[in-house]
This record gives sequence, structure tokens and C-alpha cells, in this order.
Amino acid sequence: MAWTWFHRLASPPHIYRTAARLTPWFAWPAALLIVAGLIGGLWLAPPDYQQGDAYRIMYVHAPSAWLSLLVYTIMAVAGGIGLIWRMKVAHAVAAAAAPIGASFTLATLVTGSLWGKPMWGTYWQWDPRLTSELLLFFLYLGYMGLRSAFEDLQRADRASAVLAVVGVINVPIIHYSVVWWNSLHQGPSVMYLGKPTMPPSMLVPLLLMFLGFTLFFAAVLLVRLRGEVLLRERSAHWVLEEVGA
Amino acid sequence: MMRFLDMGGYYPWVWPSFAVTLAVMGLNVYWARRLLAQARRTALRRLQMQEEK
Repeated sequence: MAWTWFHRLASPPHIYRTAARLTPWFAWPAALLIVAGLIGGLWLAPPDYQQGDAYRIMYVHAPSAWLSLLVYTIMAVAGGIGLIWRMKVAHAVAAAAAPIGASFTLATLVTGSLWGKPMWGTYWQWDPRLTSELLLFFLYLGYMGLRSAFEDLQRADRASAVLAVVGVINVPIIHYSVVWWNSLHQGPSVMYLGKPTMPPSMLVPLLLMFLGFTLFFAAVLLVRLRGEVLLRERSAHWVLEEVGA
Repeated sequence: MMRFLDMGGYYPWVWPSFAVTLAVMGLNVYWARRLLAQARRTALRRLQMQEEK
């Protein structure tokens, strides 16, 4: 009885219709939160006493970096569920999430480089945090490349899920790289030892951006998931009813 | 306004960062909608082929 919800998640028509219903509930709050975060981060927050206004890059860099890690973790969990329970929808979630994660990882690398130039004097350094984030970008590319290398969808699902599960080891390495090794990259931006590292006037817009980016990801994922499910189930009766309606 | 746009002299790095991120967000919305539209077209073609038979 308690597992009924889990079994319903495995139903493509249920997922398709639920995703359609949920998308606006994520998209509109995401837009509002991001606009509020931008106003707070660009206008209301004071300049940093060390980095001046360059620190404002953090308002897009840190949420992009958060998404790069979150999305890969979701792909690994979905891939694991797909491998263990042979749930097609779980593989569809991972496949739908990958391009979103890859694009935000690229945004993290580019905005990080743009922050690095005025702060460190260089766009790139083979620093543990930067190198492990670059490796994450290659894992995303590898995941998408591996999927497109197979004509058989089930083999593509299985092979890419194994890569996602194995590659997730890089996520804690990225997160703790600034703690484990001497890194040019600054330490934890939001919380350190359970206490915020910045005043509320800087922290609140950053938290709004984190939440806004997360909801944005959820909204885009749901739209992509509907597309993935339709492509996978294109011969199913419910799909023909859905598009014929 | 000019002081705001100048970003304390860091404008060559601050504004491109925001532009890149907003472009990534816009592209994600576009790609997602295109994937869904493509999937619907594929399913619709299949439905039309079935009706022709």
C-alpha cells in the first residue's frame, strides 16, 4: 500500500500528465525568485570590502555550480533506480536532466573564469575545484555521447546509467576539494561550520537565486521529461490519444 | 546609472557572467520546448499513418 506512489511513478502516462500539471507551479515561482535575487544581488547588496563589485558574479556562479552538482546526483540516483527496478521513466529522467546539467556546468566554468581574471589574475588555473568541475563537464558530455552511440534505447539507458552511477563519486570530490586540498578557490560561500559567512544583505539574494535556479531546473526538467516520455512511448495507445485530442 | 553599469570597474567580467548565465537559461527553455514539440510531431505523424491504414 505504502509503495503505491512509487509504482505510479513508473507509469509513463501518469508521469506525463503530472509533469504537465506541475510545470507552471515551478516555472512562475522560479521567475519571481530569480528576478528578486537579481534585484537584491545587483542593486541592494553592498559591494564586498575585498572584492568590490566583482563578487556579484557569485549570484549566478554559485547557483549554477549548485545545479551542476545537483543535476548529476539526480541523474545518478535515477540511473540507479532504472538499473535496479528497470524503471523506464527513471532512465527518461536521467536522459532529460543531462543537457540541463551540462549547460549549467559550462556556465559555472565560464562565470568562474570571468571571476578568476580580476581576482586571481588568470582565467584558468589547474586548481582542484576547477579541475574537478571540468571533469564533471566531461562526464556530462560522456553521458550524452554514450547515449547517442547506441541505437537500442535499452542498451543506451543501461550503459549511460552505469556511467552516471560511477561518475557520481566526483560530486563529493568537487564539493570538498576546497577543504581537502590547498585551493585558490575560496572556501564554502554560504555556510561554514553551520554559520553564514556573509551578512543578510548579501546572503538573502543569494539564497533567492539558489531556490530560483532549483525551481527553474525542475520546470525545465518536467518539460524535457514529457518530451522524453512521448518519444519513448510514441507507439503507445495513450500517446496517440494524447496528441490526437 | 553609469556607476551601476560600471560595477566599480569590474563591468568587463560582471556583465558577461550574467549574460552567459541568462543565455544558458534561455537556451534551456528553448531546447526543452523544442524537444516536446518534436516528440508531439513524431507521435502525431504515427497517428496519421495509422489512420491512413
